[in-house]
Amino acid sequence: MNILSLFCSPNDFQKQLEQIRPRLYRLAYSWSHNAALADDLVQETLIKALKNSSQLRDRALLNSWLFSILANCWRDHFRKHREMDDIEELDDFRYAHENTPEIAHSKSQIISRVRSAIAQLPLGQRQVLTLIDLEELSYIEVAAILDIPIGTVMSRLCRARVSMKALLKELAPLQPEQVIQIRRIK
Amino acid sequence: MMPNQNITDEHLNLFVDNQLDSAEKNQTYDAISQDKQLQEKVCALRGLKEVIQHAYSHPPAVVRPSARELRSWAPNYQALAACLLLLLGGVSGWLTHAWASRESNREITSMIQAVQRSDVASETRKVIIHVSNSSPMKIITALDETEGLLNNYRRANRQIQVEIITNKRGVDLLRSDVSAHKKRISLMQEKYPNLSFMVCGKTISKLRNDGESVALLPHTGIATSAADQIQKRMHQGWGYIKI
Repeated sequence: MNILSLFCSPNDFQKQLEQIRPRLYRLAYSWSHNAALADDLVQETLIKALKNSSQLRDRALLNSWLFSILANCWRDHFRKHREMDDIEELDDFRYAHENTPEIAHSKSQIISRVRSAIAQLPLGQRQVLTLIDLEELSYIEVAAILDIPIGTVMSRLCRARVSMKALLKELAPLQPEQVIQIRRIK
Repeated sequence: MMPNQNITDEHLNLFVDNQLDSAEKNQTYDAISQDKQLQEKVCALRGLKEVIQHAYSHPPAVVRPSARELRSWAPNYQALAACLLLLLGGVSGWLTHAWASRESNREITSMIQAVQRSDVASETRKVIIHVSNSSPMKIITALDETEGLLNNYRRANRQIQVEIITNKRGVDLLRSDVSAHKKRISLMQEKYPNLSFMVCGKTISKLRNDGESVALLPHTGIATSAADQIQKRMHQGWGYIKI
């Protein structure tokens, strides 16, 4: 459903929102790895952006502003489902796939392997890594979006990349020399 | 030139993500060009960046049932569901009429009374109250509710243990320099030995890191974190109330 069509005739602001929508969806998907949830988060983000458009004074900061709304929506989603937890401790929460045969099979493909590795990262690291690698934002922008110190951005990024290296190695299919072959010895 | 030992993983990340200024970048380029290990690391980081971009270049589209699909099957199923509900209502009405005798009503009432009696006679009731906000209304509500609860149990001659845990701005309630309820809290502590106050250790250290001096009211305990304390208490069978 196109939410923007619910509102008055499209103006520049709405057009800008429509243009950035695929990027928001990509980011939300990289955090949740759930297409329906990612779409819901993006819709919520756009509704909030339209409601609070007067708060955005500098249109050049539109992207960062939308990313921070998306980050808040994602945080709210977890608050609703994990009321007892302190949001500062979400870092330690892992959101991993169940190891079904379908997933095990698809791990042979590079895209699935990378997505699976990112899904295994703690939430905070996943957000920092995707904002920097997918959206190519600066560390300062990421710190402002997630409302964390820049030092935390750097340490989370470093840990995320070290973990990604290990996870991708772990998830990689066996190399020909690693496969034990049965040979006939004459 | 920058010595290679000074080039940490964080520094390489800054380099790969284009976060260094021109002079730092030049120094890093020089160091990398002379060190094969650094070259491999940079190459691996750039490769990782590219592979992540590739993995999310086409995220899966959302599949939701279209309006047309819903229209095509909805009327038939609605009619069927309505018939089933009607049938179910009739059958359950007939059955419950047969079973709901006075005798069974009396049995249910006596069972509930028995449960209530066992609750009265049971051991100490334990409740943890969570305050994460410094809004005056919420703080007054928390104190009033706690006092009401303790009073009711005392009057009914029943045992209760209450713990108030504060975090975020809620810790202001228990800070001797900030709290507007110091006197009331000390009176409550005197009156109810079964009431304790705790603050979140993480919030306190965060405040101290931000340069705030934090002094707590007497007899205030410090938990590792509010979340840990709540989780621990809930595992021990305590009731949880968030104000």
